[in-house]
Amino acid sequence: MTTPKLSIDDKVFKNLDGSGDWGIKGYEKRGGYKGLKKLLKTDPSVHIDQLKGSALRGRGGAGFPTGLKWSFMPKPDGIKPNYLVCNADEGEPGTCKDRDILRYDPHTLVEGMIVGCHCLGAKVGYIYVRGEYYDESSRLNQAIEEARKAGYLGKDIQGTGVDVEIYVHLGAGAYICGEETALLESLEGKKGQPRVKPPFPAGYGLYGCPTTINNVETIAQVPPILKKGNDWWCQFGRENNHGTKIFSVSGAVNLPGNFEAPMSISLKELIDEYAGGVIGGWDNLQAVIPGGSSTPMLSAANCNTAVMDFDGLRDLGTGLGTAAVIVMNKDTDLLRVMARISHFYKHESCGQCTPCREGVGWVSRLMDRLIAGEGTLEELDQMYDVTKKIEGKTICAFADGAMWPVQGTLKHFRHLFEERIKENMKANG
Amino acid sequence: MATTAKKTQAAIKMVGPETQVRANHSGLEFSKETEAKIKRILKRYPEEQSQSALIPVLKLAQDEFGGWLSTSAMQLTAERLNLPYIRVYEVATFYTMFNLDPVGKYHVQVCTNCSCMIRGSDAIVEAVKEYTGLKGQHEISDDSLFTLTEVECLGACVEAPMMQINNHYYTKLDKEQTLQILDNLKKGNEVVDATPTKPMKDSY
Amino acid sequence: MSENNTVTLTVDGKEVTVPAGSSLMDAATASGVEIPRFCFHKRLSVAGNCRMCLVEVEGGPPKPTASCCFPAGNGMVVHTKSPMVKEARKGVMEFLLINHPLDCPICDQAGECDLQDISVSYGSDCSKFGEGKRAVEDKDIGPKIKTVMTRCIHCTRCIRFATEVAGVEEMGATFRGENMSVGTYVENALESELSGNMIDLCPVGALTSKPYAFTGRNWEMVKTNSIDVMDALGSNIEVHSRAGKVMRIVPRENDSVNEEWISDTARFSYDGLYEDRITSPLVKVKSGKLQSIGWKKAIETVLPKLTGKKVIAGLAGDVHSVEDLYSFNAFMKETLETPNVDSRMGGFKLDGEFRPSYIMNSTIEGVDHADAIILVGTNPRLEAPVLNARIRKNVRGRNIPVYMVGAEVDLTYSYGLIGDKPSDLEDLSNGKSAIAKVLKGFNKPMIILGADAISRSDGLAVYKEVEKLSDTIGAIDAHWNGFNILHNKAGLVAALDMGVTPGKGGMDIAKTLKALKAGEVDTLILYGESDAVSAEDLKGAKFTIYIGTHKGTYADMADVVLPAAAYTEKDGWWTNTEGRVQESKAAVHPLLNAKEDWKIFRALSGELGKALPFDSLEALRLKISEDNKPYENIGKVSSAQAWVCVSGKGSLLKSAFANPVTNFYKTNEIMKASQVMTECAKSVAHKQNAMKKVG
Repeated sequence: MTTPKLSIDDKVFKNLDGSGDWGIKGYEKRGGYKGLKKLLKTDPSVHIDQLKGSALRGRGGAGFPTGLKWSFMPKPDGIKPNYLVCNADEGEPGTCKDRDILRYDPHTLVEGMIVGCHCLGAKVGYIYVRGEYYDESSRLNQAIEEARKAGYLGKDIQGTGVDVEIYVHLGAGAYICGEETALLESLEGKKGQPRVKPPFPAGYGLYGCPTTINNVETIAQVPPILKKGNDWWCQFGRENNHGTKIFSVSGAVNLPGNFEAPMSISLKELIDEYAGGVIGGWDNLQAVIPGGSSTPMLSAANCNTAVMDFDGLRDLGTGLGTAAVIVMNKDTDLLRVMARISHFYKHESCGQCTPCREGVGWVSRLMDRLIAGEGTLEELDQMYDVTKKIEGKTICAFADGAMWPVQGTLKHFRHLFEERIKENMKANG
Repeated sequence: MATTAKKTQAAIKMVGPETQVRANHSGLEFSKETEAKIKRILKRYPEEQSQSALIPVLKLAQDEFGGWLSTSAMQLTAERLNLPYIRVYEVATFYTMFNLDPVGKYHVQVCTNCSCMIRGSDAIVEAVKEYTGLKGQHEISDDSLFTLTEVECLGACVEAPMMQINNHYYTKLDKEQTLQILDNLKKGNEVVDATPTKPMKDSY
Repeated sequence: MSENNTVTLTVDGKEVTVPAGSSLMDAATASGVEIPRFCFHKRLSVAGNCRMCLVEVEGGPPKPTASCCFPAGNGMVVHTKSPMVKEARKGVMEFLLINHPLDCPICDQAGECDLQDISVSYGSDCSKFGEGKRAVEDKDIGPKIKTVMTRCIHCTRCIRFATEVAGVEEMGATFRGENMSVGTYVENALESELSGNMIDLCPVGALTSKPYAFTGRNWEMVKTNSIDVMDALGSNIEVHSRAGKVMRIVPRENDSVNEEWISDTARFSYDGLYEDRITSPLVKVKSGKLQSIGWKKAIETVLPKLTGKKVIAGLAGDVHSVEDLYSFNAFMKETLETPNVDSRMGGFKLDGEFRPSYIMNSTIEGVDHADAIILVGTNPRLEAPVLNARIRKNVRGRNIPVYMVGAEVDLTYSYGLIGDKPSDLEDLSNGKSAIAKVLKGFNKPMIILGADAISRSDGLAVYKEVEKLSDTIGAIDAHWNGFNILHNKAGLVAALDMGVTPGKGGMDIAKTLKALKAGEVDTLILYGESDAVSAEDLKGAKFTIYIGTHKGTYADMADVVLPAAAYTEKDGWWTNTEGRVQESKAAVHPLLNAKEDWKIFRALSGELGKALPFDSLEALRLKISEDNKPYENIGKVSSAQAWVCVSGKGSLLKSAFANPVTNFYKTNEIMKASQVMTECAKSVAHKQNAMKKVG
């Protein structure tokens, strides 16, 4: 069964490929900002209820229902302001969808921030963009400036009485700042170390004020959902996994790229129909990381049937994550990829919690030795044991995300490790 | 009660660690342009939350004082934002974009994470080494122009392999292109740019 | 407590009810289960980073929960000993140990190390870790704290202490991940009066006492309860001694006084107990030098100077216990029958007539209840650092405002500076200024008047003005007494209580100094040193007897010197600035030929044929408590008294209130003799110069 490709009307990001005008004129021509006034005039609770019904789930990796998240926000009490913070600290290996939104279709995010701020009772929204996206953030700033000039931003937007200001805040290089409370710390000018929860940001967020943090894609998807309705949105994807989604397909495919497609599309279709197929053909496929480096790899066999949505991938022992599909064909040194990912987590651990600070480096070093063939078979078990001691013991989910792929690789590709160890033993007599 | 207290506190002189005017010990000064940017940055945050400006201002300090953060540059930042030195030092050492040692005029950061690795980032690293004569990371080339760093995912995976030189991304690279880009930079020529996202406005 | 204010849950099968807002760790503690922890400390913010305190909560996600930071909820079922918990903690312990040097045999923390203790329960007897261990460079953070940073387990207690309690943001964790490293900004001496507390807070041997380094083992120490005398707060301390020598000093917990902090002067000045001490009686020989003699000879030399028709004056210095002051006073007034006695060498203008006039009536704990603090002529950061930390705690935690009439100083928190002149105080007590009106709005304002402000020549006028201010803003009523004196000398409250002030017609300190200058004093008895009066000003008596502990200024000018016992060498009561009488036990014997002070006075009185009416400490104490009501309740503060106006006169001076403490590390003879204190003073000066030079 093939999933029909999205028509241009059904796409949220109509200029994701960068072929059109990224500016406000192009965006308005594509239907942007139309109906904004109506959205701002409608009571936030109506919007939030609709979002709940849309089953929109966060696009940043965790897949938490957005409507539910937004309903946690208290009404502004007049003492502490509410904040909406957009997480554009894209850094999970494989993930680069937000970059293309920022540089090719930034007004989708700007409009989303305006509507989101209205829904959440926030007068100020911050967009935390990873520091390396310097050019992209400059694009975003220009879009914000355009929107302000056109009267979509500022005080009393289009006479609706809604005030919204948006500011871009650049990070400075730390993957962990993609964790929402680390992001808040970083936005407050501190080290990006995740906070202990509870309290959750909806009660105690930025500067101790009620705050909601959402991914770029999620926020940008809100206005189309509210404008076009849940029926339109829910026609895409399976129950509980509705909507459209950007898939970043990278690695060993012929045409890597960011593609907006219906949720619940099959992995095979995504790779073959959108990304030009696996280099060397489908039979040359070795493995796929389906949702960014934190999600365990799928073996080639599983790739045949994998359905790209939250539940489908969960059932296969992995996750949709950020829908960053990294394809490895048989020319790829899979173990080296895994070791590189472990090195990444060692480099990016914030250092706060004991298991992560001490354990992630241990795993990375073990992995380096094992793929060099210097380890022993017992050490394979030991590595698994260490990942189990780290998983679920830390303040944030970083360490879990660092350990799951290791566990997954050990599960599906243990034979590769064993072969390498044995080869080495043979070579050394 | 809280409100009345606040009122008078405004009427009398408030003294505290955070309100004490700090002497400039750093021996450095921000340029007028940077100072204007700092003022602009500070406006984005609530008045009492000026620490929020720390990361952007540190980046400005790094750009202004030779591409890296000397102790003096960190002190200047701390004094400008009225923050304890240690809070600035913590942040400067936490984020990878802050260089704590001098770098070449062009800081070549090649992504070697998985998507780029699968598509041949090894060859890009080798090309940079070949062109610049650099043997390892974090060194400065003999002509003081280049420093090579292998970095973590820069979020341009579908355009792998890629590298960032100073603020700008160069994507969909191969060996020849890499050599060409470096050569153009060295010669001061217009750089062929694969990414159509030229900065049109300062990001700060 | 109403039902809404509590939660009831089950910990290891036992039902427990705790106040709402309690953590799972609190609940476990309440049910008698101890949870291992490294980063958690009840007086610091919750970090939740060590992950040692993991517990299992039924019905939650299938992973353990950090009990230090997870709120207890009604009906929760918590397991602290389940297989999941044990496995989790064992894992955490393994991670803590893989990069730890395990150098316990050469670690000063051994024997009192949390990591060592907890590893007994959760450690493994062998490690599977086959990679290289991390080594971290040690940092020089000044003369008080020694660092061995490879031992650091990154719990961040020290950072939180510096930031939250001490209020000096100088400690931090730099770099990230496994390279995260705790230290100061580019190797800098810590400029805090409380930094030594980090040594106690550090759960491992990363931060240890520099002066104590390699001098002893925890289990060799004889531990004696004592009271600190470096300021007038009466911080509870434990003196650790070995073979009759004081080896180190650590705090004891007392929520009413010092919580569990002590100042660096309390902790590190003990080497001064063994420097420049007077170890036997001395007599001045013809060359002008002091030569040791026996007690008998010394007393024989002294007696003729104390008999016959002579003008005899006696002055007591800053640091004396209750018993010593009582016996000194009795010796002067009853044995020698001279009214010329004073203990207020700094010029404190009040006498002991009305106790509430010279103590901290709100009590130290009152800081936790006050809704505003008004400081007058005091710098609590240097006069009582631990009290200042408590004020800071309330400024941070309860957001109470602090106002100051006095010198502009850095108190580590922000306050409103009203002015530094007595006239600013007058404007306030007149009740007309805008600020005065605001002050009237507080229910429990706490006025803290520095003892040095009443020691100025207009001290009595200052006192009256503050008394008026209390009236103006309603600081004293039936339920709250917001009038407080902050003393900075450990002995003055006791001296006033014991009436160590001139008898009828007697000379006070000012008159004594005048008389000395005029050559009208035959015999001067100097009992201990005072920071306020120089030896030069005390010259002029025909014969000077010095009774004290340390050589130096006063002893050098004396004709006879009698060696007394330091505070660690005698049982004694000490009365702190709130008037709380606390008992200190002798940790060691008086040094060589030194004697307990009261015994010296008792002996002299006997030789003079007018023996004081006590032969033992018990008898002496009985006398004291018979004469003094507050001395019936040791350890407690006395109950409130109705306010009586003290008669006073004089007008206020124009000159501003000065910063009372200029050399924090050198305010009494012990600190003056201490080399560690000298190093500390140097390091502060050095840092200030260095910071100036950078520019």
